Amino acid sequence: MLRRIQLNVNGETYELDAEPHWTLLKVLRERLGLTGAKPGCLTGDCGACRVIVDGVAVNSCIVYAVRVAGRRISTIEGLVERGRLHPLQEAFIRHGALQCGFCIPGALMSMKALLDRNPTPSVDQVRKALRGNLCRCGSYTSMTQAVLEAAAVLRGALKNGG
Amino acid sequence: MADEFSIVGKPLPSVDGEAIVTGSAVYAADIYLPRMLHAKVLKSSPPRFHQENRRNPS
Repeated sequence: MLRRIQLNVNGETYELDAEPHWTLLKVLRERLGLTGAKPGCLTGDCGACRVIVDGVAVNSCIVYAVRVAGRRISTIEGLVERGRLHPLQEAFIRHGALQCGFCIPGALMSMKALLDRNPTPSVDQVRKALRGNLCRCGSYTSMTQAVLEAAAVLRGALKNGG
Repeated sequence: MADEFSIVGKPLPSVDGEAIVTGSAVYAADIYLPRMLHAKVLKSSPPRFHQENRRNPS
């Protein structure tokens, strides 16, 4: 039975009718046209569908959309701010941390959530945080380097009042 | 020898980097067409080969 819900995604409020069993991933991609989050495994194992809900990175393929109504949802589409790439995005490009790129939106969301709660992660902490994002192309090493660099850039930007 | 090359062994900017990191790159899974059909593999169980060979255990 369709239920009318409001979803707060990237600062915008969307009103839509959703079945209780629809996943957040399905609603984002098929109802809101936000196809950044990817359907990798649909079993919550690969992380390609990762989005951030109230500061926590979650696999949207195993989250019911109706359950996150009213929560603050961030997707890859919201990472760009005022037309500028986020330091994470720039670092990923610079380090060639993307090959086919399918896992990248999910990985970026995981790393955004990581840096938001831990601005000074160690190499091991980054590696551990990346465990939930599977990359068949094997970009883990460049992703790790990119995250460490982005963290440094963000710390520098904060120091300079940027 | 590597100095002679302009592309081989040199870092190159990725053409699709920005599309990938912003989530705007379009993959096959991102294409939704009107009246689109979905395919799924139907597997038989058990595989016929094993069923036939059960008559002649060796």
